[in-house]
Amino acid sequence: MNPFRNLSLFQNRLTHVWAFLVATTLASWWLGGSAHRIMEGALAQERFTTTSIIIAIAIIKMRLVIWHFMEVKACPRWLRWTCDAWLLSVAIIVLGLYRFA
Amino acid sequence: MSNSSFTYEQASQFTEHLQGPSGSAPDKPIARVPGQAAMWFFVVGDLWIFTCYFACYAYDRAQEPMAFLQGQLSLSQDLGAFNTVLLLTSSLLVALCLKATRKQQHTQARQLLLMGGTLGVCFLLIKAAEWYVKIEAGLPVMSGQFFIYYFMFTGLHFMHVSLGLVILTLVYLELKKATAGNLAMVEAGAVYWHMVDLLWIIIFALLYLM
Amino acid sequence: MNSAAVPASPGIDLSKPRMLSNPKLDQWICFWSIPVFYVLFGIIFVIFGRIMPPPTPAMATADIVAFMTSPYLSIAVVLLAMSLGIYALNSGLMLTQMKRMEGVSPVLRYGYIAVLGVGGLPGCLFPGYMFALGAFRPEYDAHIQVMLYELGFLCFVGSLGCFIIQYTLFAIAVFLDKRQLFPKWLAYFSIWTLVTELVAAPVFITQTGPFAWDGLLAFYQGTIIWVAWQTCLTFYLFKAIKEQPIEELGLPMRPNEL
Repeated sequence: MNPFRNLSLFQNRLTHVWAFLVATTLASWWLGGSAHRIMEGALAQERFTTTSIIIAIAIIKMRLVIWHFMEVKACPRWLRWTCDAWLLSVAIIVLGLYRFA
Repeated sequence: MSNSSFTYEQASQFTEHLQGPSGSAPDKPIARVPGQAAMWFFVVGDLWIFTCYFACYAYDRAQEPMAFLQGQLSLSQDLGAFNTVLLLTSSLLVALCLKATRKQQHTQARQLLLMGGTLGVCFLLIKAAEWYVKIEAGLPVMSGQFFIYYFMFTGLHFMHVSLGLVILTLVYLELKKATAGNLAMVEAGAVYWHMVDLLWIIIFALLYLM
Repeated sequence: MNSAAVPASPGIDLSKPRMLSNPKLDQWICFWSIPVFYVLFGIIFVIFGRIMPPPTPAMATADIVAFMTSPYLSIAVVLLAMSLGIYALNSGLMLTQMKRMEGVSPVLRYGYIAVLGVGGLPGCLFPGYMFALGAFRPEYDAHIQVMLYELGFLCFVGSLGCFIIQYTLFAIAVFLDKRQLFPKWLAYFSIWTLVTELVAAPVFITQTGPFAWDGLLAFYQGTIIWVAWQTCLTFYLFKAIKEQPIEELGLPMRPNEL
């Protein structure tokens, strides 16, 4: 039997989120991998923009996973805020320490 | 579905808000915590523990950016990206499994869960192959901080995926029972599995791409 | 359980002082040995030994020799050699309480106790003897002192294998326990302890940074989480003893049956 029966796979919000996640994964893969292999001599300073974009994409992806896959969008406010506060903290801590430490 | 059918776990204080008679829309905000409150306690704490690791990594990386960049470029971004897609797909399948469980389609839920778990096993095999190639080329942990972070992060994540596979197996056995099954347990297992996915997304960005 | 043979009344013997007639006296003695042990642990490792928080692995040879031949370290290791066994009382108590769990295989509690006993060797006793040898043999060559110093700390911080299994067995037992003797979140808490303990694995490789044996991740984070876990565990152990029904104790003879 078809394991995807009755799930309306193409109208399903979960599938849309998944497609977006895969697309952003490929985008950040292109950004962080192949395109910059040439730039081995580049200064870390110059790379900061690329790094920020990559981290931002990761944060957006994590937010989507939390919101739609972990169903936090339907959770009480304290959990939604805890998750968002965590995401924001990760972005600030990682980029802040990377830039200013 | 009544709370009395919860065999593995006493219904937590939040699960009394579980959906009423089967078929109520799962997408409607009903302000409850999926699974068990204890699982969310674990997830949030675990994420903060990993945040401490990430903070140390970002700090150390800023000290010697070129050495870290060189280490990073010696990893296979292609395999990392492929593994990310594997885990994202696995997460989708587990999320669909939960949807099927809520519709009381337990056979279908088991099929989806089995596919999701198989992708998890594939992730582990690829990760092990990646380690093997690195170690064959000479134990790289001696050659700098980056590879210590690489092996610690991927190793801890590997452990989390393995634990997740154990949990998914327990969920599978639960879904096999003739009774309505324990919805809270399926939800908690799914939450854990998505957390593993979540951690990989940020580890992939930090180690392979940043 | 032979509850039919035991009368419902707790049967307190009035001829003895109140404390001695407490039917859980044995368990309470074991319980209060836990704070006694940890206070001694603090005196030995923090105040006398200066082993916690650990000094840096990258210390100069002269400083290492000074550390190893300190008279306070010798007092610490003597105290340690004499008092480590107190921990066995705690293990006995854990075994007694884990026996009350329902639907949990006895294998888990026997494994828990065995692995705790084995883990105490590399985690506590080996470093004690390394430091003792250094402290009582000041005539040793400086290189040998450095080796004893490294070996002592690598045992102390790097002894993770046994404790990881200890946390795992405890977590599984709490998950399976139908009686909910310990709360579920404590089981998840012990998985955090496991994760933060694992991070001490690279102490064998690095001498500086967060993964060295005095590092932020290898030592401080793991220790903070472990102290919090141990505190919660002790609190729930207290609760478990307190709420244990007297009928369950299985006393051989009740005072009012004499």
